[in-house]
Amino acid sequence: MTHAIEIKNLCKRYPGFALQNVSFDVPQGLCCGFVGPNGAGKTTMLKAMLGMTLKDSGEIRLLDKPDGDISVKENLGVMIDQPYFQEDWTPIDVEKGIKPFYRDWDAHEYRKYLSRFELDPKKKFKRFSRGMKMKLAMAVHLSHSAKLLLLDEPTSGLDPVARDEILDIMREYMVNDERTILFSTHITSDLERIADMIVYISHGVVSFCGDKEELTSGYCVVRGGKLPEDKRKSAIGLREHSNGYECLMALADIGGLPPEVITERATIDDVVVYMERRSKYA
Amino acid sequence: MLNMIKLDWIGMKCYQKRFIIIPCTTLLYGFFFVPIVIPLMAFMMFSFSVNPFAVEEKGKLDNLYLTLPVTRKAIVSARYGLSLLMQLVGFTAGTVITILYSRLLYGRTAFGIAHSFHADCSAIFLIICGSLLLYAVMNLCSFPLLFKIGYARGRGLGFYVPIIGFAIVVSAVYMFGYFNDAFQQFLLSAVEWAFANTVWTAVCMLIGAALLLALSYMISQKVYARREF
Repeated sequence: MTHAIEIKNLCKRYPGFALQNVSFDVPQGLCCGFVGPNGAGKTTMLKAMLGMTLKDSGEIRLLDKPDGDISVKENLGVMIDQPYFQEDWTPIDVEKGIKPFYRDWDAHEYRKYLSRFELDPKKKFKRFSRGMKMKLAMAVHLSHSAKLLLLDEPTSGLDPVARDEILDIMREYMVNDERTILFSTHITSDLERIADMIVYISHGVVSFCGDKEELTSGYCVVRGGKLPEDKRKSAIGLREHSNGYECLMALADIGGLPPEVITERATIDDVVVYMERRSKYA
Repeated sequence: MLNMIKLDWIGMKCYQKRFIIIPCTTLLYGFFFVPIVIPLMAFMMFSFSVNPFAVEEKGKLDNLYLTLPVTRKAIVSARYGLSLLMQLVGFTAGTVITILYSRLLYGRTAFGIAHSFHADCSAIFLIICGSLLLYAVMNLCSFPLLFKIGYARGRGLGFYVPIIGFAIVVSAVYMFGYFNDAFQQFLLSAVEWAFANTVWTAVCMLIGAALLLALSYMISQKVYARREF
């Protein structure tokens, strides 16, 4: 299987934070959600992939090219938090500025997307809403046939309608099997809707990398009155209160729980929240 | 690099209208003192060429530039290329204005100002070389800092501090010359020698400017290659 992203033993140290031997692969043709709490290292990781942050050690390969090979960026579409264009630029200026950098730039396609996304080509970037800015960035990426999108929280700060539109664009982008998306997000419902796989990073360490279903299907949320002592070790992110307890538990460990215990299928949110609670109170 | 120069220029869209201030100001000041036109043009063009840093920081355009298929080296080279192009435009326009004013005003008195500057080739060449040296000094003082710490912090340290420093040095030299006849004589003889040996003076200034610009470029490349975003 060809990998669009290959990260091996990536290390980057800052005062008070470090990416520690981060390794993961994202196969080509998949949409990968990059999750983790604030300060976990998601943006640092993305910036390291782009050479914006200089790594201390490790190996990064994007689209089968090593880091430092600038030609790979011809096939990348990047959005760090939000699109960064000069605020007085119109979509026409954006094209004038960006087009010369991409051999595969398709001006006709760009106009088509502007029209489809209802973006006025003569309207200044600063007058666009956040959703429109996102759409403009997507129009740019689609017009130079980017094969890999690296998006840092593309749907944050958007109203539900705009979020839905952006997710639709991403879903449509993924119709072509050669294309890959890695996007970080805190909105796990987006992951449920669009992601094929998940990379979960916490405190600079990748805790999980695999199929989305694999992350959730192996766990369930358990609620009950009193947790048996022999189950304490299996409880992840245990929270005890006056009425009882709740925790995350691996499916393999739920055997032997009292019959009155309530078990629910875990969502991505549940896994992230309980895992974080475990690491916080461990 | 040409694409990057173009992008930097497009990025300055909001400042482009202000470009008209430069010829207007030089025309105004040049009327009072013709030899100031070219150095003033060099100074104003240099100030204008710092704008891409301001635009970059205000719009966080690093996040765009560093995601384009372009090396950090090309980003630095483009910034220097644009700045040098602006200087070239400035010197050309400044030379035209100087010659025009010289032809119109030489030997005349207008609004109480007697004009005695005759713009011959050697005088203009000398002024251009001097202005280039001035530009190279300003460039060395500010560009590496702007590449290292950005516009907001770099502007004060790399732009205003050298200007203040330059003003202090000029004032100190003037004051010292005023009170010290020997030093004043030395300065006058140096100026006389410069005007008598314009070619040598110009060559020295050109070499100095080239060395300072090369040094500035190398430092900028080094600091920008290591900069974290």
